[in-house]
Amino acid sequence: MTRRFILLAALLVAASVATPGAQSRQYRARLSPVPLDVAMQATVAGSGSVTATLKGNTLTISGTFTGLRTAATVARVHRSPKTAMRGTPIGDLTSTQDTAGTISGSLELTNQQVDDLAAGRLYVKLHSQKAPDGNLWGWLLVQEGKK
Amino acid sequence: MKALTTFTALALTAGLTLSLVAKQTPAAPPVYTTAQATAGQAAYSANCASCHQATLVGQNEAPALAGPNFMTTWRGRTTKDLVEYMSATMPPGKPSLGEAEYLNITAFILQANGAAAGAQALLAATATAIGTIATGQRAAAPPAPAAPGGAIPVSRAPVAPPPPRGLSVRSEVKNYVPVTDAMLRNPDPGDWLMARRTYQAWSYSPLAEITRGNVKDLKLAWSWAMTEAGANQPMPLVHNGIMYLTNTLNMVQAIDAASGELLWENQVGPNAVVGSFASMRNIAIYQDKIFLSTTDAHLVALDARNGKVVWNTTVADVTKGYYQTSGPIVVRGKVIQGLQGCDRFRANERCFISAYDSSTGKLLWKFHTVARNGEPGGDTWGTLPDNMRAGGDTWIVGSYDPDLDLIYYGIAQAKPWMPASRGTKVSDAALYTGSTVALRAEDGSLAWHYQHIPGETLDQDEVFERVLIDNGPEKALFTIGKAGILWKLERRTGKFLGYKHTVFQNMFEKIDPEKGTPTYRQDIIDQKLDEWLTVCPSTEGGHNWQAMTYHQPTNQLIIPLSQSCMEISARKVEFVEGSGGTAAARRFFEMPGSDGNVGKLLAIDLATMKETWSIQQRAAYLTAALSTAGGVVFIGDLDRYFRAHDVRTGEVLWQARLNTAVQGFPVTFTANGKQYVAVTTGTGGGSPRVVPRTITPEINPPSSGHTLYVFELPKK
Repeated sequence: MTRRFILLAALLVAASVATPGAQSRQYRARLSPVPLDVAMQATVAGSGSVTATLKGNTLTISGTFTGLRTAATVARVHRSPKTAMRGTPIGDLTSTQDTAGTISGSLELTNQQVDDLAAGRLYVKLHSQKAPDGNLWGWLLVQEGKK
Repeated sequence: MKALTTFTALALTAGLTLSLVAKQTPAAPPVYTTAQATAGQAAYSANCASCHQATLVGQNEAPALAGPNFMTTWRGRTTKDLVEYMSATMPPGKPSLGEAEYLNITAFILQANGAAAGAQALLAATATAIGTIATGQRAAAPPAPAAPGGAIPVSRAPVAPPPPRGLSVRSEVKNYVPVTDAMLRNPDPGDWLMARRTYQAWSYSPLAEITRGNVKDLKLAWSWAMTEAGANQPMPLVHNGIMYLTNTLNMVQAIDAASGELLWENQVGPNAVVGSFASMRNIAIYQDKIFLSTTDAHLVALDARNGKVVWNTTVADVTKGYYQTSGPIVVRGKVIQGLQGCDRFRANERCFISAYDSSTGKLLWKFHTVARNGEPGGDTWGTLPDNMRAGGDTWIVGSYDPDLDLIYYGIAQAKPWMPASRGTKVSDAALYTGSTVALRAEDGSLAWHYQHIPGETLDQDEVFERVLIDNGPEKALFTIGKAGILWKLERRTGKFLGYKHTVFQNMFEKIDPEKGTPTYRQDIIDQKLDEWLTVCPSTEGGHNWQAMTYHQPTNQLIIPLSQSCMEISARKVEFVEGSGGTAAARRFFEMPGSDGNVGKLLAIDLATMKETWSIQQRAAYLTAALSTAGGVVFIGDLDRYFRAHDVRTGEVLWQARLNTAVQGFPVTFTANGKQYVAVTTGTGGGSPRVVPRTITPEINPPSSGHTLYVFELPKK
């Protein structure tokens, strides 16, 4: 039993050495309406989710959304000073131009942005025709236990 | 002197701005008719005045609809914006008026802000900038304030005419046993004699007939329809098999707790909604009297045997906006009462906690919660003159340590909510807001205070329950506020002992590990008028009035929590007598990491201060938690579920889906030797209802149905 464990551990170490930079980390964001009051519910609604995989400095994002009042327009990744604060866009994503559909894209992050991602400071924001300042957003947070 | 000069300059600047505004001659032609405004006043009285007040000055979370504070928000927006906003959002939870009514109410609001009437009727398509037709200064005399009894219920459902005031059902509680000090200090296991059951505020019952093993068999024993108006959030009392129940509209009933038979009923009045939320969370009992705090800021003693009024004392002047949403605690013959509606600038008044002789209603002492110049703490309000210092409401009943003879109350935040509005800096602590105060029961003098959030700036109340727990020689006080930080203090001295985060927060950069003092984010410190700050938690709070329970057998605190965030923006207020208010706009969003779960129930082991278990759900929790020696914790939610959980694991053991949101304070008691569990359903409330309505709109409990439910185990 012990010998088998040692062999397995050796194989895992060997695999990690043999493929440097191949480790990836999974993140997920639940997409929900941006800050709104009841009056804004006429134009801001919907939900969705995205998953993101960081491999090296490459962040690959894919997900879905549904329930928008008007068609989606653009989707972007933003960096915020802290989790749940507004921030500036750092890259574009592709989204279906409809009230439901998909979001996808890939970004090459700087080392600082990789740190931001690990600290929960990156978020995805989806805009729509009648919510041009933002319709859905969600912070990319690490999925525990998944590396 | 320098401080006064600075404030004078500020006030003069504000005054100059206001006078310029007032002198502006509206350029646009009139957009509404006198007939519309007249009809609008009636519609406003019927649908809006209970929250925004008959004088349109607003109250708490209901903003002012007339005057400079209204114009600050609406000057640059159009009449069409205002009509659409009201049509989409008002009355809260169920916008249900016809287009003509919304137009008429808009006309009334325009009239109240100095806009002239004309021949042209206001139409839904009319899009005139409000700043071009209104000044915020009324040209004619303001509408007469409604008498305290003249406001109209906020409930959206058809409401039956209120019953006549006074005793409407006359019977007698047989074999009534007076409640003594000894009973309050050590209550019979089957009784529930005060808010949260004991002086220590544990919301815990030693009853153990209902257990983890048999709670699955719980069934309805009886139910009771309650008054439909205002916000229903009550905690019944039970003594010797008789339940005393407070309804909205200031009604108290005595009910046989086993059979549900009504014994007496007194509509003390006013029998109309007064105050923003018009709830009354608790009543008190002592000797042969029931003590009711009314929503118009009176304290009334009723004969517990027959419901007759024994005495009626005015606590504060309702015409100045004072009201009450929580009742008293009785300590050695003194009825201790808090106060709400302290958000207005008043030259000669300020918020206080007061004590009254339980036999006569005579005022015994007052403790003012807002320090003025020349008093201890009076130098913590920056340059604000005394008459511009507002807030410090005490809207949750306190607790008491009989051995130390100290009463513990939480003091709410300063008003307006944000320093950018209230003319202070975040560094101005504003005592005694955001604090725990320990008062000597004998004379109300301050034994100690601990300020949890100096200069609180984001409507993060620290006003909620103070739970008193001994651990060997350690005498601790636990409390948790909207920031979701569980605070632990030494209750003889107020010394800080520790803290624990219970939900995500991003408003504080750090918390001093020695003193517990939090440091705000820099952008919050640098806040300016009309700039949005994005923060977690929201004004719903990590924690709110839904009290935690201390389960003594497992040494756990079990805490109802909420997970939501907000953007908040300070609005300008006029620094004149009667102005003030909360003065902030808010927008809400889901808390990152919550997966959309607003409701959270968290158990903490007090030996380690670590989480034992937690559960999360989409629906917000709207009741206090109740734990029992049977190993069960009860709690209810917005989605109409009332559930029993295993106190060791959080596992759901039983649930019932009731008629509307489960809201209030569940209690358990015995009658005829049998254990029962009671809980209320209800509508109405502040942020705990406003925020879920915004971010979980798919959860739609009925907007009527105030009811008391009583559950029991089947007969063997």
